[in-house]
Amino acid sequence: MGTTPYANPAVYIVEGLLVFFILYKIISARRGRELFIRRITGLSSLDEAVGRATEMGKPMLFVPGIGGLTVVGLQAMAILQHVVQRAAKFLTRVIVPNIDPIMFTISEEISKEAYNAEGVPEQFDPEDIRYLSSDQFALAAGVVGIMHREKTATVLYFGEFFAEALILAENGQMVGAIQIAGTPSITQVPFFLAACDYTIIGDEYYAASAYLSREPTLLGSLVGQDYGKLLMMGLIVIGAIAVTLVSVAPWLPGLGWLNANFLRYFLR
Amino acid sequence: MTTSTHHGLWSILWGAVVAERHGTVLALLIAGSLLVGAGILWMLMSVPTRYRKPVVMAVTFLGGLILALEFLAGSEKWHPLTDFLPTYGNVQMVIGSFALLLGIINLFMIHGQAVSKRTKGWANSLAFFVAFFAIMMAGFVKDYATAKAVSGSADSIFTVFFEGFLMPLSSTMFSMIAFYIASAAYRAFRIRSTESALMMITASILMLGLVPAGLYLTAWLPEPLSWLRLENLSAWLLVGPNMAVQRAMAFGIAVGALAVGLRIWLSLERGSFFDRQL
Amino acid sequence: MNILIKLQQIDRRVIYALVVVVLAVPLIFHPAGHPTLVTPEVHRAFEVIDQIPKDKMVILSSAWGPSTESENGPQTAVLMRHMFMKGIRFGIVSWDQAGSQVTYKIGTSLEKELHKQYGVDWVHFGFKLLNEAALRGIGTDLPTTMKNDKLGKLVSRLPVMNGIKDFHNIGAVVEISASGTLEGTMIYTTQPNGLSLLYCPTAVMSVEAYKYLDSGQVKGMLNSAVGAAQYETLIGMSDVTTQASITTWALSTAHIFIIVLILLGNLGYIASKKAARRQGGEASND
Repeated sequence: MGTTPYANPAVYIVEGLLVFFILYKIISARRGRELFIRRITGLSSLDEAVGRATEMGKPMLFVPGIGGLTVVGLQAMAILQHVVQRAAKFLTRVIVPNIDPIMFTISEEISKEAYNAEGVPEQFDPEDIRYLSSDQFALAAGVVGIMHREKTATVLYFGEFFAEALILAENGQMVGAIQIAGTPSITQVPFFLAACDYTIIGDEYYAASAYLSREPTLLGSLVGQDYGKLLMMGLIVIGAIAVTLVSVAPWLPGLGWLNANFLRYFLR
Repeated sequence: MTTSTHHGLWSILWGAVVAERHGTVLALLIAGSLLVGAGILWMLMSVPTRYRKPVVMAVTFLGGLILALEFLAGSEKWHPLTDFLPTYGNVQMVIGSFALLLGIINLFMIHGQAVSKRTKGWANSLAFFVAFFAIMMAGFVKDYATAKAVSGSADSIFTVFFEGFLMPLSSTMFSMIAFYIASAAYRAFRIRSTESALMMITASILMLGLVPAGLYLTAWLPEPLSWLRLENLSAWLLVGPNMAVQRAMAFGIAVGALAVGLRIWLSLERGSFFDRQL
Repeated sequence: MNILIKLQQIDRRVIYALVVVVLAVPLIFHPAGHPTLVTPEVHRAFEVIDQIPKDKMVILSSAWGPSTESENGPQTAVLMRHMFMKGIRFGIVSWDQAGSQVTYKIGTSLEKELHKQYGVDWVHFGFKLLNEAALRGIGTDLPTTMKNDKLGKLVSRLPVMNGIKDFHNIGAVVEISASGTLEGTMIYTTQPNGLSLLYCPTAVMSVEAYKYLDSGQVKGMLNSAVGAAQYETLIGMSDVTTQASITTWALSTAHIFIIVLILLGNLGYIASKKAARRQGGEASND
C-alpha cells in the first residue's frame, strides 16, 4: 500500500541520534568547551550595514519574511534582536514591516527590549514596527513604498520568502541600499544573489543566531547539527553501497539481513 | 492506510467534546469558554514572577509533546492522538485570529494618526480606511442581509472590489517580477570569476533549453552529438547537479530546522526575547 | 570602445520598455505553435491521467491565485480538458480564496465547450482552509472532509460523488501550486494511501521537484505554462492557439532578450576593464 504516516525504526534511530548529538553538544558547550565556527561573510557584514545606515542618517529596514510563527520566523526574530540592539547603540531606526500579526507582536517586544537593554527606551518608536497586511503582494507593495519614502540605507531580509523576494530586492537596489539576505527558501536564493550584496544560504540561516550571539547553548546546537549532517552523509554512503551490492552481488553473506532490516525502512 | 481508533468510553467522551452545537447551547458554551479563559489568564497573572518562566516552559513542552507523541508513538493500528489533531489545529487558528485584531489595531493607529495630523501622504491613509470599511460592509451585507435585493447589490459591490480590484492588483504586482528579472540579470550576470562564468553559462543553457526557440538553435546537431542539444543539456543539469544540490540543501535545512525546533521546544533558545523576565 | 563601455550602463527604464515590446509581440500575434518536444515528466503525467479507471476520481488540489494565473491557469485547464475528454470524474479543491473563483471559471467555461455537466462530470469543492486535517481527510473520508461544494450543496448528494468515499476511490492527486504545498500533500494525502501524485508548479518552484521525481514520490510534472503546452501537444491540440502556447512563445522571446542583455552587459564590462587597464598603463608610463 503506502508508506506509514507514523515513525518506523529508521526514524527512531536517525532522529534519536540527531537529537542526541545536538543535546550532547549543547551540554558540553555549557560546560565551557570552546567551539569553533567558520566565518559567514553575510553575517559578519551586519555591523557594516548598521554602520552605513548610521553614517547616512537614514533608517534600516528589516523584513522578517512571510512565513509567520514558525521555526524560520522565530530564527528571524533572533536575528532581529541582534540587529536592533546594534542599531539602538547608534540611535539608528529599524523599521520592521510584518505580514503576520503574531510576528508583529513579537517584533514589537523584541525591539522594545533591545532599546531598553541599550539604555535608550525613549528612542523606541512603536510606529516603526508595523503590521502591513496578511497578503503577500500587499506586503511587497507596502515594503517597497517604505523603502522609497524613507530612503532606507540598509535593507535586511531574513525569513521565508516566495515570489515577492525579487520585487523587494530590486527596489532595494533602486534606492541604493546595502542589502543582506538570509533565507532557507532555496528557490529565492538566486534572486537574492543577483540583487543583494550578501546572501546567506540554506542552513547558514539556522546558524545565524549562534554566530551572532556566540552563546554556548546555540554554538553547541550548531556543532551538533554538523554531526547530524555527518550522520546523513554516512547513511547515504552506506545506503548507496548496500543498494549496489544487493543488485550486483546478492550472494554476499549478510546482505539478506541488511536488505530486510536496513534498506526496507530507509527506502520505503 | 489510517483508520479511526475511537473505542468505548473514549469515543463517547471525545464525541461529546467535538460534537457540533447550535443556538443557545453554542452561545452558552462560548460564554463559558470566555469565562474559563479569563479565569486561566487571571491565574497566570497571579503566578509569582519566579514561577512564570517554568509555567511557560511546561506549557511549551506539553504543546509540542502532543505532536511529537502523535508521530513517534502512533502506529497504523493505534493512534489515539491523530483524531485530536484537527481540534488542536482549530485551537491554533482561533488564537491566531485574536492576534489579527492586534494587527488591525496597529494599522488603525498608524493611519489614523497620519489622517488626523495631515502628515505627508495622508490621503493614502484615508484611502485605507475607505477601502477597509467598504469591503467589510459589502461582505457583511452580502452574507447577512435578509432582503434579496440588498444582498444582491452588496454581492455585486463585493465582486467589484474582489475581482475588479484585489485580483488584478495581485496579478500586477506579480507581473512586475518579469521586469525586475531582466534588470537583475543584466546587472548581476558579469563574468567576474570562474564561478560567475559557470553560473551564467548554466543559466543560459537552462533558459534556452526550456523554450521552443532554444530547441531550434541546436536541433541541427547530428545524433552522435545529440547530448549537446540544449534540451538534453538542460535536462541533465536539472536531473543531475541541480537535484543533487537541492537534496543536499534540503538535508542541511532539515537538520537545522530540527535543531532550532528542539531548542524552542525544550526552552533552550537564547536571546533577549527568550531570556527576558516575564 | 565608448559605446561598448556604455552597454553595461543601460538605464533600467530602457530595459523595462524593451521587455514590454518583447512580451507584447507574442501576446498580440497569438502564435499557435506548440512544443514538439515533450519532456519525460510531462509524458508520465499524461500516462497517469490517461490510465485512470472510470470508477475513480481525480482530485485537483489547487493552491494558486490570480497572480500566477498565467502559469497555473493553463495547467489546470489542460488537465480538466483531458479528463473531460476521457470521461474521468474530478473534483477540484482550492486552498486560495481568489483562486477558487478563477478555477471555477476555468471549469465552467470548459464544461460549456465540451458539453459536460457540473455535479455529474466534475465538482468544485470551493475554498477550504489548508491544514493537516483537511489533507488527511481527502484520503480517509472525502465527502465528510469537503462537506459542501462551492455552490453550497452537500457533496455527498451530488451524482459525481457516487461511490467516492476514500483513497480506494481516488485515482490520483494533482497538486497545482504556486507555493510550497507539495510536501504537505505528499506526507498527509498521497504517501500514506499509496496514491499517485502529479505536480504542476510555477517555473521557479519546479527545480525543487526533481528530487521527488527521481525518488518516485511524484509521478509526473507539468513545469509552468511550457509543461501545459507540451501536455496540450499530447492531447492533440498542437495546432490550436491556447493561453499555454502564447505564454510559451512569450517566454521564448523574453529568455532570448535576457540572454542578449547579459551578453551586451558583459561586452561592456570587458571593454571597461580593458580601458581601465590601458589608462593604468598610460599613467605608469607618464
